[in-house]
Amino acid sequence: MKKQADTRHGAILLLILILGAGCSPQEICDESLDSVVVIRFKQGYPEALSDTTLAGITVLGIRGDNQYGLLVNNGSVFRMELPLNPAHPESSYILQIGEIQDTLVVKHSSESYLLSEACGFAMRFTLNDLSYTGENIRGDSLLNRVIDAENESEEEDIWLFF
Amino acid sequence: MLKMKVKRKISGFFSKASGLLLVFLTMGSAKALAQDTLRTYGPRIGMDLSRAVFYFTEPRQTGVEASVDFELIRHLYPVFELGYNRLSEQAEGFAYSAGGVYVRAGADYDFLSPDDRSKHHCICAGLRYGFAAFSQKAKDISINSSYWGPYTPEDYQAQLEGHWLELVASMKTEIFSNFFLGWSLRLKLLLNPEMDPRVRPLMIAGYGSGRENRVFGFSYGLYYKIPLLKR
Repeated sequence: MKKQADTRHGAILLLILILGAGCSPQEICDESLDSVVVIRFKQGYPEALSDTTLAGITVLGIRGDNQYGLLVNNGSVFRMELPLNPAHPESSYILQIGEIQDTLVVKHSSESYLLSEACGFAMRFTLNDLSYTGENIRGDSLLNRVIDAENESEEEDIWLFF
Repeated sequence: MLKMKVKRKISGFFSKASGLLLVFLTMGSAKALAQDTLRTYGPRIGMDLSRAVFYFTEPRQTGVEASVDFELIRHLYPVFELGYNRLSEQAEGFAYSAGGVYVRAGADYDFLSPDDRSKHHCICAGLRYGFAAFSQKAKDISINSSYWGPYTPEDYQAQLEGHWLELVASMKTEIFSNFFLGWSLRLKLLLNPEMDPRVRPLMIAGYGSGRENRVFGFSYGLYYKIPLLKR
């Protein structure tokens, strides 16, 4: 009788183990897939660089002819995150401080990559060049050329000198 | 920047339960074998039955696998396995498919030493090297940028090769003369996980998810030994 009970308990234990082994993790993605370049503002260019905060800055992304999207609205910021344009080889932005407008152009190449089964594809950018027009921006430094959706937002990719 | 939530789901229950049934069946049937002092030798050909169960429990995956082994010297069985796998999946934002052939080569060591030489049951441990030649495709890719809007990149396609090692624990029981049922548990170690940094495969034929550097595999099969020699 005891042996029979032990066998039954063993079978139940084995069944529980099999049921447990049948559980498999499934990922769910609930985040944005944007690849953004993180820009930090600096002053004292070129010799005595230090962090700075820009007051009253408005940043617009140029989507097309006379089409703009607002990214920063008259804010006081020391850094900004700019989404890169997957459909074009460059991403263009307008930085307006007071009455003065600067145009910032980031040239890049890009390719899609599989982020995960749950999240699907995202874009990986390689930054090739940085140019600007206007009076506020005095220089730049490209720190990180490869930008994708997994980059940490704490990392700085570009320094802009004012 | 990216956060994942993980939830659990019950899957593969039927395949595991039928595996359990198989173990009990093979253990029970082994006792009925006739006694004989001669031992037969010949190639043992096998078919992986778990693929048929996966067809019902995981319909997005299809596959077939055959194997052959031979008792080269006492306790040692060189093994050759050949198979085909295909995965087709419609995921959020893309349609994915992958398929290809694979081979595994290695050997099993049988730890059983039965007094009766006519018995061929096996409790084995083994090692395999696996190689897969497969293709993967992704189409209808859609990337929805919250700022720039939806973007559709070009379809993606690549021909790839996968290499891996397997540690195998297995059991085979001779249920009738020269007919065997058996199962195997495998730990697979991927040797070239960076085969395609752009799209790490959702399936490597014969291995499993290429997004994992280590995976477990379980299979059970039916085997027939061609009795070429008896001595």
